[in-house]
Amino acid sequence: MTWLPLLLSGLAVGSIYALIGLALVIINKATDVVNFAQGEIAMFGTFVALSALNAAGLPVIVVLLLALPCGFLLGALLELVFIKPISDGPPLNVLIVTLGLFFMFNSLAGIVWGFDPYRFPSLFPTEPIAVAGAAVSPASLGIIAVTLVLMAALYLFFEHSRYGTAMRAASMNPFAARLMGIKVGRVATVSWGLAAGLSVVSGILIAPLTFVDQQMMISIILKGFAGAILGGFTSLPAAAAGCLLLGVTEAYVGTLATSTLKDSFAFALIILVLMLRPGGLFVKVARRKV
Amino acid sequence: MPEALTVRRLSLAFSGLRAVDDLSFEVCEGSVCGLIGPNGAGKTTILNCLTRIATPDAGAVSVFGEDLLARPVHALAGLGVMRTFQNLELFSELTALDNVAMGCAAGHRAGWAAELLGLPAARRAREIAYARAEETLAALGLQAVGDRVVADLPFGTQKSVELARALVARPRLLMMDEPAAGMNTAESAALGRAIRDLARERGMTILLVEHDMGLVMSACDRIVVVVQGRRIAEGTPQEIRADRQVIEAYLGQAAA
Amino acid sequence: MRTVLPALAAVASALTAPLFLGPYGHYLLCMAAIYAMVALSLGLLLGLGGQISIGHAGFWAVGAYGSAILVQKLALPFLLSLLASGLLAGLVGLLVALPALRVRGHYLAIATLGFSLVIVHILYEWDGLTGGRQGMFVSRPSLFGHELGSDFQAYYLILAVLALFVWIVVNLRRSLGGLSLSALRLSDVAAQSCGVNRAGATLFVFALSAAITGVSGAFYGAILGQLSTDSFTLVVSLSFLTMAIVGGLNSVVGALLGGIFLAYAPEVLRAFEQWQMFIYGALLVAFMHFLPDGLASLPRRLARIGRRGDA
Repeated sequence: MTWLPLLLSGLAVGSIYALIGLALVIINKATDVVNFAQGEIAMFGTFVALSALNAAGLPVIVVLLLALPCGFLLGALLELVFIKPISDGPPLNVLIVTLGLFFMFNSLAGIVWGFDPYRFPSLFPTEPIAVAGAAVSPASLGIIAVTLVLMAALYLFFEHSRYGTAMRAASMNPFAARLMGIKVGRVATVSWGLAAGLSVVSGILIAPLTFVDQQMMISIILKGFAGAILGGFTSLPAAAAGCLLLGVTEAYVGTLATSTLKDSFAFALIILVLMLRPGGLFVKVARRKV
Repeated sequence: MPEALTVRRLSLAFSGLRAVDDLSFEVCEGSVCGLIGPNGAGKTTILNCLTRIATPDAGAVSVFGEDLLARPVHALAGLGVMRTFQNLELFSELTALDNVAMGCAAGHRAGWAAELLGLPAARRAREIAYARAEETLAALGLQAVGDRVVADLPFGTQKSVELARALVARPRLLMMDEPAAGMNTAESAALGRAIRDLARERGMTILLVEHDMGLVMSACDRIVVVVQGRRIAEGTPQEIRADRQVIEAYLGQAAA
Repeated sequence: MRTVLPALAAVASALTAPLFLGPYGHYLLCMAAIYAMVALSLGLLLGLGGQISIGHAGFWAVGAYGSAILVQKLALPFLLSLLASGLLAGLVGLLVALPALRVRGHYLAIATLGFSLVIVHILYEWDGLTGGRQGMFVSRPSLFGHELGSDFQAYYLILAVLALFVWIVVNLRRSLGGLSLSALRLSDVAAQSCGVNRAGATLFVFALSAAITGVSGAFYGAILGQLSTDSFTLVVSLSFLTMAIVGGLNSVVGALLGGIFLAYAPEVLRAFEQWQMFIYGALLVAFMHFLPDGLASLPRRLARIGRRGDA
């Protein structure tokens, strides 16, 4: 059963990618841009969570529960202040604004908390548990479980709640959605909030396994982006599946190769996949109507 | 008269749905052929197959004796085939003059190298294309909007600019996708006269996809009626007007 | 007259600026001109062609290492190595353009990013040729056997090559080929129906953009005097994209201003110490809010404000 721990740790890393990847897709559906600052929002939120733990002495589980609503407020605020005023302009400009936010958050974290890595308390027990004769880390299981719960909640929200359905309608056809009385402008704000909430959760989930520092999310946002593209950037389930697949593939390749080789391999694979399936592995490309 | 366009047993299915089903027809050189049918009959899909934007599953298309399906989409302009689009496909950020010049740019270009080095050949090519574009705009009475960005023009003017972009290439075969949509009766009558003139005076072959029955009946020499991708009738306007199947297809749609 | 006078003034100040500056000023001028080439190439690819790349650091690396290796190992004259590095980067550009024939937008962004990571990884691993982790030394630029020992001398060579590229890009933008690229960007279906070969045009614009960036990379290595793969990261690709957009994608003037911005912004911001990256980020946000068409649109904006003031 040696494959089981590897599969689970791959799925755990893939879950972190998936949370960020989903955040990117949600924002892209609303604002038509890749939010480069997504990882830095997560990093910043994780620092705030750490301060809340240390200064206010809140229990870890409370911090994890607060992450989503607090992240939501931060994301919604960012959208209102920085994105909405230029949302009618070229999408490339919005892209550069998210890059600007990247630098601002990255640098602000360094100014406030310094550049040394911090340790984040474990969210889950650290003793490996025996499953079918293999030692499995509870942290992996915990990350996978929290991610699955969030994915299920997202599914219910988008498929079965009134507001979620309205958001999907707004991203498919803003004009028609507006005619039906949906406030398209507010959809973008909610999307940014939702995305930021998911990102902060992903930062807090990964923090005990790595360290909390300024650079903690940089490679993760790249992988989240790449995984979402691999699966299909236009669909939430496809993007999540792509991220999980990327995590698992990396785990298996990682036992054979160094980490930079792992990155090159991952990207070479993604380019190959895109040449064969331009819309991603799990999405069929629809022809544009003329 | 020789055939300008021959369509043989054309078929195309989208995920099981037959959009074009074993369709055959031909259009004689210098004639105007109407392609009509109720909504969703597959007319635009047929046009997309004939202009290589969609690739049929089976069948053959030849234009002036050349096998069309063996050629890429950008080779059609060189064969003298131009088209207009149902929902307008203009180059929105460019001026009307740029848009029209684009219609004949490919035929005049001097090549990338000459263009990078700004050779006289490249400059001359540009001058010729723009001179032709101005001429075509003037012929359609559009000289006043030449330097306006097309996105800022009214819908009707945009349609005329798109027609100018197709005409500037002096096509031998022109395919028009619902040119009369959004026009009033007088405008569509004028369009009908213009289409007849193009065929009679310039010998242009025209395939017209249209909903406006008045325009189709007055402008076309022959009409092909398509329902669910299949040809159900073909003939002169008089024959089509009297065809039971056609009447049923249209009445059936109206009743539904 | 309206465009001739400012253009003459710009040329005159570009030519005379080094006379009033010291060695470090010359170095910065060189960097601004080197960056301006990249901004020019991105204006071509993104502004005219509508194809995104967040992997231009990869082409930069190919040019830098290609030229350095040709000069060092094969003793090729610098001018020939410039040409060769442009050709080499152009060939790699053709390769990177292959995904662009199938995908666009975010998918193309990831593909170009992936290519640049793989290219830089290959350069890093190939230490017999590139020095790998240690990096490699690069000879000074030279002209017909004369070494251009100071950045003052090198600046005029870089400026001449930049002028050549500006001329080429202006020619292209004014030609029917440039019009075809614009058309393809705005509606590829209509452009192809007008006879534009999409595959050919896409390959061409990628190759040309990569070639210009490659030559810029060759100068970069020679001015810096040493190379390591740390100079060609994703952050570099993103800062290229940033300068091109901050300058203005749709004009040659924008590219030149973008190059100046990328070279001088860190110098100006250095005074703010730990706040410099924060201010850089805030600057980007502010530019996009208040100058959405880039620095190149500043005179037009000022003129409009001036007119409003008069009325």
